[in-house]
Amino acid sequence: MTITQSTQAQGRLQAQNVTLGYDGRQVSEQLNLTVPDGRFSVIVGPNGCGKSTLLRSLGRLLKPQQGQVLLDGADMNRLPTKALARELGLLPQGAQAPDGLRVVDLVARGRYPHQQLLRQWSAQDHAAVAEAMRLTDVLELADREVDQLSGGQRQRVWIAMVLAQQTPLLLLDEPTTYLDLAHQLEVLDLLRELNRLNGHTLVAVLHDLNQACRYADHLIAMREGRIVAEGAPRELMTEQLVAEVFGLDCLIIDDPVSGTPMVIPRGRAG
Amino acid sequence: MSVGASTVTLERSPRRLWGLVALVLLTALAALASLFIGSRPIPVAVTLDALLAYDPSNSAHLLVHHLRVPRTLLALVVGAALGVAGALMQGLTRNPLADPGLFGVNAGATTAIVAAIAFFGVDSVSAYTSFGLIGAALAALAVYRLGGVGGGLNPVRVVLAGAAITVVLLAITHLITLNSDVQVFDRFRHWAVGSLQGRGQSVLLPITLLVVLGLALSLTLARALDTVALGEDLGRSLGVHPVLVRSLAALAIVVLAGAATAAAGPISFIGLTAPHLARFIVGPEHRWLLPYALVIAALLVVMADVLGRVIGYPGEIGVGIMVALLGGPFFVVLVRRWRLVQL
Repeated sequence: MTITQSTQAQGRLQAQNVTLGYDGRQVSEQLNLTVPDGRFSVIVGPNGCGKSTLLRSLGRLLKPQQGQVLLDGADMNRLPTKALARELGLLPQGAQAPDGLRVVDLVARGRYPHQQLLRQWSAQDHAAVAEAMRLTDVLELADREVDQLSGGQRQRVWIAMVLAQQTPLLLLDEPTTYLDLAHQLEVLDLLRELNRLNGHTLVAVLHDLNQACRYADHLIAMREGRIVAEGAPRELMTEQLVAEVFGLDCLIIDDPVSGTPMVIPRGRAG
Repeated sequence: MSVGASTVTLERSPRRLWGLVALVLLTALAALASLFIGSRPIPVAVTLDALLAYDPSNSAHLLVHHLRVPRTLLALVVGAALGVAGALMQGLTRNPLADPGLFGVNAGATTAIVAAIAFFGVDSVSAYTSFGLIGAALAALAVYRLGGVGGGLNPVRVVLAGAAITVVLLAITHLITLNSDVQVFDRFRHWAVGSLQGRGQSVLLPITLLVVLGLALSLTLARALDTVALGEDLGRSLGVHPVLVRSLAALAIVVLAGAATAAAGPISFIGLTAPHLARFIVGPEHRWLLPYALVIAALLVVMADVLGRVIGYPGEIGVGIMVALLGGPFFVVLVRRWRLVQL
């Protein structure tokens, strides 16, 4: 087994010996993970390997059956939910907006954890929404209805919504699904920019290995509920690992554009 | 990208605020009309006197004071309750056809009242109201247990549970009415068409109190409901406790719809139509949707009640019937002209 212990990074978000599953069905056992601060981490692995389950537990949507997920050393499931929502945002897969909702109103909903009963909408909220919409380039769409947008625009609006939440940590479950290639790259470029400019700690589940290699600072490879390996793509990606994780016989070359590892499949591993 | 992009403002509300003000003014006008128009013609000047310089020895003044004023206020209160309960119900179940009756609230009130009339010989409207409230609460509790509102709420289960409870309760109601004498049936059918007639202060005060509580709870929940509407996962990751929010919303629905039904009988359609009209004007934001649904429903009920008195003159047509008569065709037009939003 290839366990690449890259430089032990500092991380506010940690999973400690977590066992994850849904009523009766266990997905992962005894997982340990430290999400490196200020980096763009990407979880990869074949379908059903537990990527989304892990992400959901990091985003406290799934309570571990054993072990705990820690934020700054404190058990996440004991933190007040609104306070936690100011630290950690999560964009689930295939989020759906109610019909007729305007873009600006959807983005504004990201401000919920910052609002109180008596102080509902502040200048700060306004600034956060405007900034999130500027970053994602959806200001022009402010008055449009979300359901009338194209897939790429809609995804940018959803990202704006979680950005308006202004959390230093941000988890994204397959943010590029259902998007065409150009829009996939647009979303990934945006995420990288957020990471580089604002120092957000990002964790995304991605399907495309080559995109993962191109954009990730830190790759987390999973198979059958286990974390098989993690580290920088350049150190991590070997033909052996791809064979082990995806059961794929491949050739790894340098991506001619970005210089990152690029996986060229030969066929299924014998 | 357009050149004007940088000038885009994120102003979120002035138009919606003015729209609400306009609707409130319209409702105030309708309420005034309700004070001046009745099955017994009273000159405008006398009505004005009754309002401004009340003289208890004047029979016209008495009528305005004891009948028209409480009736108009009750119409407003009942309307507001039904409108908000309907908006909450549609949001909660994500079902555009949901109305407050889906929780079995109306059926519960109906059964309790018919039982009260048949078994306890109850014949005062205010006593109906108490029984109606208890019945509504019991029915809602049963639906709550069956539909599992407590655990991750499944809209389909709630609707099915509500439908099942409603069927059973209506069967019981029929059983009681069929086996009772004509008097019981007669009293019951007057309640069951939905009417605001003869509801005095004794009904108005407790109902208003309940409705105000229900409305306060609903409006407090508005932002949390908006957040939950983005889905279970996003709701939670934005810091909402979805089960708590849904349970509180369900409680608000039961209080509002139960109070309205107990006071005025089952008035259908308002809880279904008013939220759609509101959503058509302001969109799905509960922060705006709830106040709009509140005012629109109050306006509709008062208008229906006034029209019932005008059309039925010298008698009158119950507000429940008027609402259905006016609301039905209107709603069909609405459905045909504009797409009904998916929730």
